Amino acid sequence: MALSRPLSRSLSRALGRGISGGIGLIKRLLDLYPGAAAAYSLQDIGGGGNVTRVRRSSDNAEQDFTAGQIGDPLRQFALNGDSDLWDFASGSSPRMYFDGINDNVTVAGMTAASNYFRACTIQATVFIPDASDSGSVFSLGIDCYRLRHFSGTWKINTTNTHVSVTEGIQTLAVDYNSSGKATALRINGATEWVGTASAGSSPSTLFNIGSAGSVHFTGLIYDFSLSGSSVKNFAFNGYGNQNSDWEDTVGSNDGTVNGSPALFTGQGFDAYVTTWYDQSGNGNDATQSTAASQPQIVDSGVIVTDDDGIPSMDFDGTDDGFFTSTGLGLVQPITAFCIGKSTLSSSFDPFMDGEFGGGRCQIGRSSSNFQFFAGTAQTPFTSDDNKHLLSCLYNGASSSARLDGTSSGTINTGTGGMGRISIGRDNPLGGTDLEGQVSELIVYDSDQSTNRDAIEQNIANRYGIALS
Amino acid sequence: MKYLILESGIAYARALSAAMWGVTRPSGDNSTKYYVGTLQHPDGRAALQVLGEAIETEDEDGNPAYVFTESQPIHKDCDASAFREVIKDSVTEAEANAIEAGIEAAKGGRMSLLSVVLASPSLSPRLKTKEELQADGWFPEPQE
Repeated sequence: MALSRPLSRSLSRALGRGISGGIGLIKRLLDLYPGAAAAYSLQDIGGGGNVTRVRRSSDNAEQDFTAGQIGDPLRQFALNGDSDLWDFASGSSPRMYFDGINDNVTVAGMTAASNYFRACTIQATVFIPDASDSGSVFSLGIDCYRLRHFSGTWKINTTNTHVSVTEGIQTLAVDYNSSGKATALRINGATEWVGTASAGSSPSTLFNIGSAGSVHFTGLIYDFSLSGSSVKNFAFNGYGNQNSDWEDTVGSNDGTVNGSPALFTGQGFDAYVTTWYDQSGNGNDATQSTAASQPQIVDSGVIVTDDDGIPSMDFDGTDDGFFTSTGLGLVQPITAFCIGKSTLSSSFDPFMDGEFGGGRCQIGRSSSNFQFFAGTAQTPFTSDDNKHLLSCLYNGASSSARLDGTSSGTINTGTGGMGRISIGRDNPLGGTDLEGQVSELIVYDSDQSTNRDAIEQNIANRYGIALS
Repeated sequence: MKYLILESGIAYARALSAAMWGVTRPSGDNSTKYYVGTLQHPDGRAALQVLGEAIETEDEDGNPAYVFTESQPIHKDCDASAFREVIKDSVTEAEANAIEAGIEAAKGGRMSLLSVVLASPSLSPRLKTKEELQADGWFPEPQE
């Protein structure tokens, strides 16, 4: 019985399976064309389980993800699973992200006096992503009614409180006396410092939120208030990056947004792929155990995607890449399919390669061509920076390569086999590295000429590639 | 990114990278085992990646200061002495003590390896750029 498209789509999603434009459930690629020696994708192409293991930058915790979880669940993981940050980042409760460069909110109409507000309390809720960073939460001019953090401690006006800065969401409150001197710092309601912090000598007519002089704040500031003053009080929700989000809720001292602040999407929260699981069932997982060499899958809280918005991962062109832990011992004929994009970081950008001396079937981009190699390099196609479906039948003098369905005709790529598979690097020992993306790589230990058209159509459909 | 040249070979370089990871994620419960990459020269020397750059600036009192573009999380429960046990082979005892104390002080926060290297007379002369390594034959010629 054929299923209606909406029903089949929902069932397909529930099963974690791909869907094509046809009616009814569409089998996954490896269900239709089994026998792959290794298969890597962020989509479920036949494994049914986890497709990747990811390390988040915030605390370096790792977690496995299925294809269906490469979306909001992965973003939430990257955001530490923090429900408040997720509300902000997902847009359900937007916040302005202060970029630490030139974003701030100013309130005009003050008087340039170091004790202008007299006694008051200034309070704000902030999110600090990096405690080792420096930034100013608020100030009148450069150094009056000022709260800033520098080298890991809180400074008020011109005085170092020696109170350590901690990362995360927190509510800060500073009491000032009638001379403009600070007398207390409270964090989340607890008094962390008491004393006398003299005001500086550079007040101005602008009150700044998110800056003091050239020192800008990185993170979130919202629920801001200056209260208890006999001169002027104001308060802002700060639930966005428009002037309308910084209108005074207790008076008429509206704020003005400066710079080009973005809304918070998770800036400061990244995630990297430690393992790209082999969906072939052969356990040839591709791994990267060095943190600095792991391709990126979440960038500033957002899933990395290809040119068509399909989840992918970025290789940095420096040292990012995966390797299988052992050689596969494949001999020709071998057929490989790859979705890749290169912006050419060096003289050669490898999508797939092997180990020097251990058998190497290679797909990559040289300076002006896409290259296919198994002992003899062939460059049948002119290269560019776009995403492509590249495939190659490695079969000695009867080899053939394809670029988005266009065939090279018969070529001789050599007779090499495949040992360890390397993705994004041309050699586990180091060498040239891909600057770009690999979204899918499937290697068959067989001649797939009979199925090649259908396999390429399946892949092309899922990645929005028009075959010629 | 720069590279720290180590005369002791690739095994030591990897041990140092693993020790760096150990201060970031001491539980060792995950698949990541090393913090930065390592390189091996054909003559047996090894190099450790040193992430980020040091940008010269001024502190609020106008004194020269550096801002480091990359810093490493230092776990609150890490064992600074374990890192010392590895780094001590490359530095003087006084430097090893200072590095251990620096890690202790940074627990729960962040620390830049580059700042450690620049502050260590034993390590700072060994800091090289990629261009310097290329000229010294560290990277194999691209192969087909």
